[in-house]
Amino acid sequence: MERKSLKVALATVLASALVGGFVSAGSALAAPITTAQANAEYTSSIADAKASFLAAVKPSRATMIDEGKRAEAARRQAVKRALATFNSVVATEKATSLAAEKTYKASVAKAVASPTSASLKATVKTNLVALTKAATALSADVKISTARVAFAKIRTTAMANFKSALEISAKERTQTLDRASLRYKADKARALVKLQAALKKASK
Amino acid sequence: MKTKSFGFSILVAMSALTLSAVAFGTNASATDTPSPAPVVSTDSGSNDDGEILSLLSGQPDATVNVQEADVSIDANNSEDVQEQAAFDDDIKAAVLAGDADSAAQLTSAASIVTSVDAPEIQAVAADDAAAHALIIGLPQK
Repeated sequence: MERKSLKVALATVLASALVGGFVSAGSALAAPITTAQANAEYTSSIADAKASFLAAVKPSRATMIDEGKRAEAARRQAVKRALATFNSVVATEKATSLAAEKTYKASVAKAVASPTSASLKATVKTNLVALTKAATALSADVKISTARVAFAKIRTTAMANFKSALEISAKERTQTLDRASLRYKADKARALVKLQAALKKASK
Repeated sequence: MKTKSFGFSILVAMSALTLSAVAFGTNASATDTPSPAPVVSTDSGSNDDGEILSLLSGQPDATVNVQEADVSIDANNSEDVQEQAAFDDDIKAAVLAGDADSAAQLTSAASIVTSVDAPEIQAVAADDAAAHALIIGLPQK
């Protein structure tokens, strides 16, 4: 049994070696081609290799950019929603200050129309104090600071998600490029070996 | 008997491998010394990476050059500008009336009211620019 398997193994080695030998020998004995033909074949092979490379790589870049843009659109959408919520809080809290500004403006107009009125001048001063108080309160508004923190959190998360999507997309594209580059180099090396063999034969 | 047969088999295998190697060597020697020199460029592959980059450098990249305008930021800025304009009227009136103290207070109030959302707007604009730069900076090669 042991001898039989040994024979089979050796026969396999012998067969493969002979086949390899015949293939190589056959290649060596093939009809020689001219230098011009060899160069033309080489040029054609390189052009094919370049075309294959670009065909593999170009769509992958477009895909990567599309995915990046989709991720960016999602980020913007998330930030836009969060900003709208933040703006809503700000608008509500700002309302007192803006109303105070309008009141102040109206009192100034009345005082200008009646420059001798001391009470109107006093009202202007009172309204300015109210406006200043409202603005000061706005600068320390707790609702706004809370909304600010919430917005910053969403914004940061959205940016992190975008970057992550972009990294994944770029990594996939790099893998495609690496595979295409390897294939291109192999195609080119094969074409070069073929050319050199043909030129060698042509020179004899 | 077993040893003799095994030895013979090894001899046959080695002969076959030698035959194969000789045939392969015929081709290998042809690749070692190409002659005459080929008409076209046949580099050894050492500058393939540079060549690959040059193959890609001509690829159009117009699709990422457009950044959508951020409507939210524009709306916020527009609102702040309008509010500032309202305060500016008050400040101007106070200055004309010779009331420097009131003008200063109004300026301070305006600064607070119109800049409540300034950090957020700046952050959003910075994020948009950074995101855009990241997309543009996606591997070209």
